Amino acid sequence: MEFETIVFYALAVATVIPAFGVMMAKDIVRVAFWLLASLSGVAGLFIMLDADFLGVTQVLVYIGGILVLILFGIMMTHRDPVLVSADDDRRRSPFTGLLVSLMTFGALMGVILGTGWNVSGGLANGKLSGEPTAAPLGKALLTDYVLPFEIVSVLLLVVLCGAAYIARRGKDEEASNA
Amino acid sequence: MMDAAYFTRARELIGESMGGFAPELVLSLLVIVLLMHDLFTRGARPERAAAIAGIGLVICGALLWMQSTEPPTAGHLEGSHEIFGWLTGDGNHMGMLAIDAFAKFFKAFVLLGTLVTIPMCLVHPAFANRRMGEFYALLVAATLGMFLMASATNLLMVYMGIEFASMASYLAVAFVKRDRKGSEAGLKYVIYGSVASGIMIYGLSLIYGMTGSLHISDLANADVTGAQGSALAVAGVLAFAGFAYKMAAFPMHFWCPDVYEGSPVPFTAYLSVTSKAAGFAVFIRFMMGFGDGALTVGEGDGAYSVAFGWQGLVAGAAALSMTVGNLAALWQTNLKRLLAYSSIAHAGYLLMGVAAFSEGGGAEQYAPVLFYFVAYFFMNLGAFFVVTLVAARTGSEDIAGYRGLITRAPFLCVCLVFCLVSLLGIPPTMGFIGKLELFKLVIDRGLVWLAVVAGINTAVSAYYYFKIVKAMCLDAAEDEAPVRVHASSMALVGLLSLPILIFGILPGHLYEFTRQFGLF
Repeated sequence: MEFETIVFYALAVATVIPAFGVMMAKDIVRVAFWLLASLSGVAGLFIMLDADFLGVTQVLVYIGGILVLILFGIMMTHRDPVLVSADDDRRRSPFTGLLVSLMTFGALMGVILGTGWNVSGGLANGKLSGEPTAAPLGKALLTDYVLPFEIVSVLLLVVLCGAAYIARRGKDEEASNA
Repeated sequence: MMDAAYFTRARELIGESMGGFAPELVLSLLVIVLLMHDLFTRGARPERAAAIAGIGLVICGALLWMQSTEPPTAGHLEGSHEIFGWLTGDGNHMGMLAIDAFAKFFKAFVLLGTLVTIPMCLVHPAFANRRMGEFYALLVAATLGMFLMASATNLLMVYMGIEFASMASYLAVAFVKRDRKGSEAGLKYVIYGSVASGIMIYGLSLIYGMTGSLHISDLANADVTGAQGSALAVAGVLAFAGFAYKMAAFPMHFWCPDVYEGSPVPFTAYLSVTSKAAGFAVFIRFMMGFGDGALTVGEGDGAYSVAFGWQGLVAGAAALSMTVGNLAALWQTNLKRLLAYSSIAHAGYLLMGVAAFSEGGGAEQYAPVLFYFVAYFFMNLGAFFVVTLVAARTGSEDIAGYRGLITRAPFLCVCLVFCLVSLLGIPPTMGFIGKLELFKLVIDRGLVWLAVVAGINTAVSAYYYFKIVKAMCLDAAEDEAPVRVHASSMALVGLLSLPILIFGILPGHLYEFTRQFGLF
């Protein structure tokens, strides 16, 4: 077996097993840590697939940002961070969920294995080029993809202001409530 | 690739594109101006924020009106006018946004819907005496997202347009704080929306994996080596989830009643009309990108074409949307919820028209759907405007609160009756003509069973539309006090209801007018 293949399977296992952990764990803090492992695995896969910038972004945004946010969220909102998902819905049979997920899995595997994917990019010849992608990405964002890039900035501005509005306590509300 | 000549060309292309992007640019600036307005204003000045928003939208409308759909320089952008993006080696322009008649129609539609929403906000009691700059900023941002949806020719822009419109809408729905229903509606909207958008982007990524291109026109003519029809169907169904969510069509309609009920009435009216239109615009463009569903698979002698049955999928979604919407509406007593289910049913009627589209169908096939959208604009906004006004005066959104409205507010009552009759689709209203044309189109294209389903549904819907009419006109009022409404509001309600009657009797010119806005 080639070295690359071994690394790929190792990373795949490191992604999928923690993903099961995310699903099964009852305690939301544990869920967050399983998520950490799973997201790191994805970052590794990105880097293996020659997308180094995406891999680093994955670490920065998902692990450094979103995961920390989740942990802060747990810390701020619950006095007892250990038990959150306390209500087990015993009435619902696990088999229905199993059946649905197996069917979805089957359909998706059919699609994934039965499709000749269009791989005209770097991996088509089976070799990793090993060149950094940050520079071409940056150039593409300011030329070909300048519109989505700029639109995202407007979107973020709107969402940021909106989130601040939702989170803040308005003077008028306090007055009407007092 | 990344040489100096490339950058020069890219810069030229961006410069050329700015002209076509002017209306969106005005909207982006308007968002910032509205946010700034609250920053530099002492106290609540809702009227001034509304005026700024209104002026900005009118400027945007003027730019949209003057915008030419012709390509600026011959040869550079082939045939269709697309902006941004890049030029491929053989001179094709892989644009991000299309500036065509179809996009123009839906942009004007969304813009007018936003303009009508502003006076509704002014009479909404929860919006009185508070800082409204942020709300109008969100409203304009949602409009900007819908503009992008109407024009998007690149799957990346399709997704971003939908997300842009959704994000702004989530926030606007939950705008009134300490309102339990509003916050709940906002949360539900976010959760359902995230699920829908997650499913959609998974489908889009599968499509990208098969075609290797994000441009919509490549959906039809890419060489998909070894792909199977089933793979494309799975990807298409997954992508449809996101579009159905914006259209509030089956199977992604769950959010609709709760969000319509919980959000401020003016925003409900806005969502029910503009969001649906933008959803249809982006979906029609996406669907027509597939052509008649024939992708060539394999090479040489082994090549075969894969048909992807959009028609079956869309027709099924149409039939289920109208049935689910109408049956659920029968039991509603809250007028906002009732109109929500009615809007799900209308998504079904409109999808019925879309199911009849075919690649070579020409401009003819778009006219019934576009005409029905114009009808839907007047009747739905009219109905919601009356609901806003009555709720502002009586505080009731329940059908019981509408008893004897004919004596309390005769003018509003008559206008609402027009809107409801038109929503039901009986003559002499615009809704009737619109439905007639939709039925004609569907039967023409051989989908008789769908027309039968729609016919039965129309009959069923008569029950709940007439339930409201009966309560308003025949039942005795509990409170005889007249519902007083400012003359300008009355004028606007009249302005929304009058076209229903005029174009119901003389639809010819308008129908011809909508014909030029088809997708070619």
